[in-house]
Amino acid sequence: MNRRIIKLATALLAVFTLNAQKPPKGFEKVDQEVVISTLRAQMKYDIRSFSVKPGAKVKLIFKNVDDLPHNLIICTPGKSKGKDKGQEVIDAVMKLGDKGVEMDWEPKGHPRMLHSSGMVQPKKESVIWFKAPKKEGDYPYICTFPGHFQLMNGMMAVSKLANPVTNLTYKLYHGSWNKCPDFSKLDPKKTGNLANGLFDISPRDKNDNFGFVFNGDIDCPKDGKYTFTTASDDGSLLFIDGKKVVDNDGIHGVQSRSGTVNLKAGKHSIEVRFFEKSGGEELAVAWSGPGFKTQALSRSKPGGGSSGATGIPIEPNEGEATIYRNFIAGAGPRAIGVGYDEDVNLAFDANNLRLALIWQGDFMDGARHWKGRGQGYQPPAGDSVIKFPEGIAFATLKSEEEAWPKAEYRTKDLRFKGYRLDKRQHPTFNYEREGVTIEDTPTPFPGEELSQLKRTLKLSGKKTPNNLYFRVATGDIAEKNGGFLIDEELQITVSGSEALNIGGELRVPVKFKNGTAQLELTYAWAE
Amino acid sequence: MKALQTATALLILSINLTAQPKEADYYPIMDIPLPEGENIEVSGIDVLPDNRIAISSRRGDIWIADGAYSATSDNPPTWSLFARGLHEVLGIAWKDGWLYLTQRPEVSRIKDSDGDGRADIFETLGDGWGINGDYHEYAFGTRHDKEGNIWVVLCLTGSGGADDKSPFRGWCMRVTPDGQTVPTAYGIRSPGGIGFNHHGDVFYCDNQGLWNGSSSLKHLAKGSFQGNPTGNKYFALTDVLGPKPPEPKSGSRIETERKTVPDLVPPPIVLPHGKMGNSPAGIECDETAGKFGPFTNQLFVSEQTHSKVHRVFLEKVNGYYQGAAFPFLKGFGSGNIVARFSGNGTMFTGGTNRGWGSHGKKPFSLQRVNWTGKVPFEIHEMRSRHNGFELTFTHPADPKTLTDPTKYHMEAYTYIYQRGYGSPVVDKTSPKVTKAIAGTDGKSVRLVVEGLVKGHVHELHTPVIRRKDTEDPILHPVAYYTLNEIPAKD
Repeated sequence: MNRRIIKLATALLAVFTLNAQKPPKGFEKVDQEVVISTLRAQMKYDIRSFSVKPGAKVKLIFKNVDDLPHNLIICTPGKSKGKDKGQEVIDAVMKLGDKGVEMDWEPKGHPRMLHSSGMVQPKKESVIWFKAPKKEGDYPYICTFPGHFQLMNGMMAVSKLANPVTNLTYKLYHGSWNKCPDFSKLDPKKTGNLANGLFDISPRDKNDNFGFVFNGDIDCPKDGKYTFTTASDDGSLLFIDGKKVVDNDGIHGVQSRSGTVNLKAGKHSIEVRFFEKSGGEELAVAWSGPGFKTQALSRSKPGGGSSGATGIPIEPNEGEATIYRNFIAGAGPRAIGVGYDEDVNLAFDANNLRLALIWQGDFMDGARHWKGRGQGYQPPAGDSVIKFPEGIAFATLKSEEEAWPKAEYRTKDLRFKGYRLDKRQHPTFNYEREGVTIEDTPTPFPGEELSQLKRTLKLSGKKTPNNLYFRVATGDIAEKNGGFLIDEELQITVSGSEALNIGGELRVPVKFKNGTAQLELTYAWAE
Repeated sequence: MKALQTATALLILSINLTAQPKEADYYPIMDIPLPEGENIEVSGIDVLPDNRIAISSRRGDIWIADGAYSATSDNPPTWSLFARGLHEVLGIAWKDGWLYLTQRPEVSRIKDSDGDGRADIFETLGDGWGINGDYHEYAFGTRHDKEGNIWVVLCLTGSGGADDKSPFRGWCMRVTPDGQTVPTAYGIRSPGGIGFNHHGDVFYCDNQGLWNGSSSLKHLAKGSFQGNPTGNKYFALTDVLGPKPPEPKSGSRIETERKTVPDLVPPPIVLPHGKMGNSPAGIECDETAGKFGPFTNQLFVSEQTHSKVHRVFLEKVNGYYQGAAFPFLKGFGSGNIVARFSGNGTMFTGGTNRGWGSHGKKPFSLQRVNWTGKVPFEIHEMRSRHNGFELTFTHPADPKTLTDPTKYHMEAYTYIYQRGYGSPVVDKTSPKVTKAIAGTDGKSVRLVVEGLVKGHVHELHTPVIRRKDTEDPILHPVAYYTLNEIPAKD
């Protein structure tokens, strides 16, 4: 984990930390512009959280309207999600000691430092041009001038669901109501920030008799008519600039209600109130406006179904992998999820004995299966999910061109034998196919920016077929760098046999020698 | 005379008010603290060598405790995480250095081969059934039977479905030591647990629902039909149990359908829904040879909703198991799923209330029950006779309180056997105790009953019986006998 972040940070620092007002090459057009100001005599930034999409080109303008010098340094995510404020960077500043002043209180080259505005004098401003990290997560930003960071900090969320809501906070309440109560008269049980700008009821600590009040700002791109929608179980209300726009109150199953309001370009306050009495609980929020269609402001779109339950992230121990056997979307009911500490993950399908999914970032969320009764399939929690073809991965063919056999949901001539864990809890899967034993060992290893997977397959048997093929992937296959680029997103290399592109299927003939064969594959996400 | 009796009764009542015996005098429930910050919805318990125990959780962890036998709230055992990330383990059995686990998709065995305290070998032993992403697709497994098999009961898909992609839902399978999965019995709806009696015969609890008028404890005889025909479609996949059998008629009675559906084994113990509990689960036999008190070889049934443990006495009549259920112990921390006796007579219990609420309000708990050495005054056994029942007691009873037949209250009833969900109590009658003959040892009474109904639950209340020496009433003066068979005259 750490090694990867160091590499990532160094690469980005070298290329993108530029303080010029003139856009550097490639940044003539940016995906997102963010303006953050200091607040005069308050030791705070005016934007305490905002979100950007992974890989987005960002222009961040930092204005210092205060009477003291300040900077803004974006850090990599800390171990304690959402609560971290770049503590290690602050510690490093402390260590600068007397040298601190001349170094502008900036611990240059620190592995957790991504971008810096440099020290900005009173009434001056600075621009940071950067490409947002590919990895989703919460990236804290801080002022490293001694004594400032405790108050002067914020959170940049890198999220595929990035949206124009900033400064989003929540307050959680307990109580039994039939409609939204006057929350202002109640004491919240818990408060917190939602840097990703998504209205989200997963910070709750129970599933019945609770309520939320969310407050934030929403940035309207232009003057015009905006429509807001909530879908909730039970009731919800939505306010813009203190005025009620959506009334979806009362006890009900998931129900959508919308309201329309004319707004000027710029920031407006947004407040959502929600309560749940008993049974199911859900809140989805969305908006649409001049020039754009409905955009979700929550993990799921109203009426769009859920992209997956959240609230119980499953993470490996440091330096290890962790296993999650359950119903995983795309990997079947006998799925075995493996989350490696290197931030790369896979799911093995023990119904058809195949690698079903690989992905980056967060591993799995246990909330679907570990809250309530646990119905259905849960998708991966991370991003850059690659799906491998369903059906069987090994087949005997009359010729290398023969159509790949269709498979049932479960194939009888395969037998799953289990797995062994090494000292790092990395599994080797064992399975059999008609007298051939297969040992399948995936291993993570560092790549340029994202971790990759290596996979070793050892096949053996007393009587081995001479026409056994392994179907590695399907899709749009291009030969590249001595390997194959699949759908422009995954680079695969194969050694131990010569891989063939047969009509959009990457097939590897398995050549046994003295009853054994060995294949080595690498899976790398295209940069 | 009547006035005198009343006075005596009042006197007894007032005496007892001062020292009413209670369950905890005999069987106190102690909390065993679980590792802090962990969610361990206990779903399986087994006893390991060296006074350790292993527990499984619904989230798929296996934890091992050292010191659980003497644990109290202030004296937690030492816990270590043995394995993580398994698929809802509802059966755990220690054998020859391996832990055998029943997970949703398979029976597996796991082992720590390098001695670092964490399992590193995970072998799939048998997985010859389907699952398809439905939470209802539970699999409960036993420990090993005498041949080394593990018996698994498979809940239907959903409350009453049998999907083509989920073969053998609603069946009982045996996973053999060499990894075969053998279809063994059928007709299951929604099991809550499975276990052996002292002969090694296998029983499970099925929950009220489709084709189950009430929850009950059922006997998994090989080739038997347990009552719910939804899974009969899988006869197309196997001939181990012969051709597809006839199906029962909905809206009938089990007693009636037995005659035309020969594989149908009537439930040995109906656990009247709402009265005994709502959700029977694990089954555990007391084979501690008296270390847990006087109930040797009786079954102890965990009850999830009511957070209780029931006691069950079984006898075999005309070749079929049947018998009586008694309340035993209430007030557990969460919804009881499993109980496990250790050799020293400790009953470990575990539970969860996720998805289905329980009277015990904790989300999950692990507890232990140790007998104090005092024997409660209870109905020990209830046997059927050709013209009534015979009760035995754990202590001699005051004969005066045994012999008045009018002081026994009996009701008999059954449930509709139907495709729909559950059933009201139907066909209620009031059998009459006409004679009560005390045994010479004072520890038994023979009840002659007019109006026994074959197939009915016979609910008996014994409010006036008193223990001879202390005049204590029976701790649980009620029994539910399921009279599927009536024995011949002896």
